Amino acid sequence: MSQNDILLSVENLSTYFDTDDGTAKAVQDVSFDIAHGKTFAIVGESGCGKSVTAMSIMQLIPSPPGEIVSGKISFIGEDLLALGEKKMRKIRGNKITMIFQEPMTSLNPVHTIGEQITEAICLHQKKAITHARQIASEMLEKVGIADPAQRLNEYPHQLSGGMRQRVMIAMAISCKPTLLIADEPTTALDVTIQAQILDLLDELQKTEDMSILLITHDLGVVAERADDVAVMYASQIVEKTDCKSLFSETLHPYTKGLLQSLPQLGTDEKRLYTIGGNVPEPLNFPLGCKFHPRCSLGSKSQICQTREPSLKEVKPGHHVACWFAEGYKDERAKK
Amino acid sequence: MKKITKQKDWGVSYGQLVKQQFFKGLFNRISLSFVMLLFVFAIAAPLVANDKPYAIQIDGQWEFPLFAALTANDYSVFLAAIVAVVLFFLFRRNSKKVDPFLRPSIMWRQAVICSVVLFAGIVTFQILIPKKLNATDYKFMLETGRATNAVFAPVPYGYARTDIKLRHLPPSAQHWMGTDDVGSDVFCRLLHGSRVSLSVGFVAVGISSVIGIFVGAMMGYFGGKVDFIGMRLVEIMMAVPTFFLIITIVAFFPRSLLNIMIIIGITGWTGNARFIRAEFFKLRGQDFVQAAISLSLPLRSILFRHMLPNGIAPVLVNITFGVAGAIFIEAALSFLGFGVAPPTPSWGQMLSLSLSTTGRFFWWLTLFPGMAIFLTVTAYNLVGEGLRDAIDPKLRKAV
Amino acid sequence: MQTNQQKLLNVENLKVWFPVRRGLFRKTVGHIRAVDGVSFDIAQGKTLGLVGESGCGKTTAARSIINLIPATSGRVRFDGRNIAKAGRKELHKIRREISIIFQDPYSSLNPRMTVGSIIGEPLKVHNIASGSELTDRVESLLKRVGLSPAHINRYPHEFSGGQRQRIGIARALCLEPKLVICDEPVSALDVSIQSQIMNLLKDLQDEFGLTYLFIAHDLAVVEFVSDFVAVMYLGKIVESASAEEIYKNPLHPYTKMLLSAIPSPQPERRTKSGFVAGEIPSPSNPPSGCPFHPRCPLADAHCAAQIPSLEPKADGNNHFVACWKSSAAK
Repeated sequence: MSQNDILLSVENLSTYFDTDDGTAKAVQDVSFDIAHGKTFAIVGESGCGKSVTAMSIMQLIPSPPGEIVSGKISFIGEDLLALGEKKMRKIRGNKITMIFQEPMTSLNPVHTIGEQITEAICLHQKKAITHARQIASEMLEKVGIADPAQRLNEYPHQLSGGMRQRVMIAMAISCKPTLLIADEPTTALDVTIQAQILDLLDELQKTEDMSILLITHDLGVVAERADDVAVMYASQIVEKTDCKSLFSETLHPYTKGLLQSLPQLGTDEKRLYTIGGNVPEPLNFPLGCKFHPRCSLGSKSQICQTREPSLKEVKPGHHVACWFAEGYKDERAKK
Repeated sequence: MKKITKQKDWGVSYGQLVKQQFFKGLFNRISLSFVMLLFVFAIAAPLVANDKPYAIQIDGQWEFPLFAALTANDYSVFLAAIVAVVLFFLFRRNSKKVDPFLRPSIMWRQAVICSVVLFAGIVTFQILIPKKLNATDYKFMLETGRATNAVFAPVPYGYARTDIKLRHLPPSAQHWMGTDDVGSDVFCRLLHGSRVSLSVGFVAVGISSVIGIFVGAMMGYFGGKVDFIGMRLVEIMMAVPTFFLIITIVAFFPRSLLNIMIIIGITGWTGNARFIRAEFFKLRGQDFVQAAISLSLPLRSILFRHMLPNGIAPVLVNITFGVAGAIFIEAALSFLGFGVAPPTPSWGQMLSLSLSTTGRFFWWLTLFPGMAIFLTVTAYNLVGEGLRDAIDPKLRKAV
Repeated sequence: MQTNQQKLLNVENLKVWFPVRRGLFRKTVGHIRAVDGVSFDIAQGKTLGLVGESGCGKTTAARSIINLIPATSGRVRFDGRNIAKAGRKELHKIRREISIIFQDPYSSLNPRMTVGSIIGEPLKVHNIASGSELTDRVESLLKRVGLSPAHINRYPHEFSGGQRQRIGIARALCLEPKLVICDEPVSALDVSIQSQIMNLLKDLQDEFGLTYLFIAHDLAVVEFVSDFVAVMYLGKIVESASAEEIYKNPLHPYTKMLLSAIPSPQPERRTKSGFVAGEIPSPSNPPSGCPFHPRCPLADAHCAAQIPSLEPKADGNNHFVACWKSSAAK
């Protein structure tokens, strides 16, 4: 992609948390670019640092204990990390908005839907309250909620989980953001509702012309919705490419393992492929390549146990961090 | 002892985590040490403050009047203290040496042996040690030269001494905290009085927490009609002004320490019952309780092994505050003259003596018992506060 | 449904209704029909998968089988014994032969007990083992589910989600049950851990001849582990067939909708799931007629008026469906 197309660029982002037992490196040296009008997905298992990455972009990391120790996040040419809290507040919730996993807790139960949506509109767009209400009802209509004027006066507990997520999305797009961060937007929802919400996001992306940073653990969702993907494991990106080649030319053994371990409908498997072991904890990462104890390729190899591979471009647009990946070999031979 | 696992494989229990968290606080450590010091003094009061000498030579013959004068109750308290210390060290050793998987049965056996020893000891003391009055004035014997070489306790006065000549003496080298209206040494009475305060706190809260936990557990687990009846009972108890009820009841029954403990105990269980009920309601739906039911574990185990340890935390905090409250109620009762019968000393009763019938104000009679009550109640409250912070889930990772 | 093999569990017309009480005198004004007339069999050594979205009553149905939630009506026969009519002693005995694996590995283990006592206590109180035999049994169970015997003295909070689920499985197996109810055992786990647990469950089934009632909302997971699948919607079974058949030849529009909603990890098969619409209604106020008709693209006036019953498909392939529009019911 050309330089002009890039909306958000994250470079070498590292976010650490101080705990009683030491420093937890939740995000380590993460870099990626999100293009205009595209969906960029970060996929990974719990604790891999995908949500912390999103929170770092929004600068919602609670500090202390958290701290963004290094990196650069440029959003339309501006370095977000250099902005003060005051300026950041103008961007957060306005240019960049976020929807969360848990639609049950992300709405305030004591205020009506209308109050909550109009508050955001009044704050960021400096509109009069009556005008804001009108915008709010238009937004609800846009996210597919029937009878929006009526719904504005309802409280969150009167809505189902899918409806609440729609309201969250309405709130998020009410300020016409250029980037929507969706942190596991459908994990708490049923499959049929998930499909509807994902369709809605797709449609809104086109009509509102925004980019989406989709954070998920579900490779199926990635395959269906994303343009570019980064796979995170143990606080780092291990593979980054466009969606098609991630699934057709998988390079990293972790990604391969994840794909193979999914049960496929309509196939007659007797056993599933498994990645052995457990997801390591940020306080207790293994030495060398962080995946090597669970890896079929590298568990016995000296280099995997001692040296950490960095993310390198092995094919045009396809980055991977594995000593044994195709195209990575030359590099290793030199050393 | 067979060990299944190495020590490094032993997990950290919730209790240990709470302990670690609790001991992080300086004030927690100070107040806990203060409470423990109080206990030591209360237990050892007859050894520290007594008008009988440890040893004395009368007509060339060595005698040990202090030990001879101790009652069966005193010896029972000493034995209980020794058993408690032994149990404490046994349990501490267990937690370091014995494999946790095998530990419960071993600890159970140790506890049973210790309580049998304690029970047998108390019974023997009550049978073997006769009640006798020893009114011999050993100091007078020393002065007359009949006795020599006496070793007295650090506070060589009895708590029931009456000597009109020595009344209302201000603090001095002989009487560190002065004397009261009948000439007793205030420090001596303070030490003996701590037994009343601490035992009231302990026994009364013991009674109230056993009743509270049992009723609360039943209400929370069974719900429905049991809960309805239990809650009405709780509401009735809470509607009655406790202090006036206690005063009324105390007026009807003989003035004994045991009665006061029981009355404070059976009026104070409602808070615990409500805490436990709320916790059990929450736990009842948890999967691990459902799992216990589905494995057809006995009800006793489900209630007291699976649910209680998970719901006990707020009650533990309430208990420490309850001890402080019970001490306070006892002091107030004694101050009003409904407490233990004289000459048995208690802090509240001592406080009431500061205003004599002549209207003169003796500051040492207010200051020292008042400080004793204040410091003890504060220490217990600080321990409770520290415990509450230590079990606060916000301070720790999910356990 | 499966007549040729020995039925271990037979559920007939199971109903679990919760009364809705209102007003000063707590009058019962209606019922939440969480489970409304569910029937199924499970043959010895087989797996029945129960699929449905949240709120469809699948968990309630499973828990009422062992009377954790009392059934309003219906008959549950386990190994020839009627559970609903069982006395306290009989129920205790039956519960030892049926165990549950729970969804949430965090709330399903007692945080105040060590792994050893979580697994060992049932063995102890039922006088199955004690002393060194108990230790051996617990250790071998831990090994069997893929944990180290050295973990016996750890507490649940020291384990990851997948390891906790293994502890839950060991506890479920400790009394050597005949039937294991797996209540969404993998849906709270990470993708790479899910496959480990599903393989483990399959291995254990082969090794101990276990029968599973496997509850999940994920059709792909259910299809992998099950021999037979029943799809639930709003307290009723709307379709049931063998796992292969239900995927290849779904008859009920709801099953079709579920299948089309599953995102598949193959970008070239990317499709718009325009067919998926609506939300599951509240069971306290179910729609008239076929419960699915407000979301169904095929529904007509007849569907809104009459409740279809679960009827076998014409070709007798053990395929049942409750839909007026399918060829089966006419």
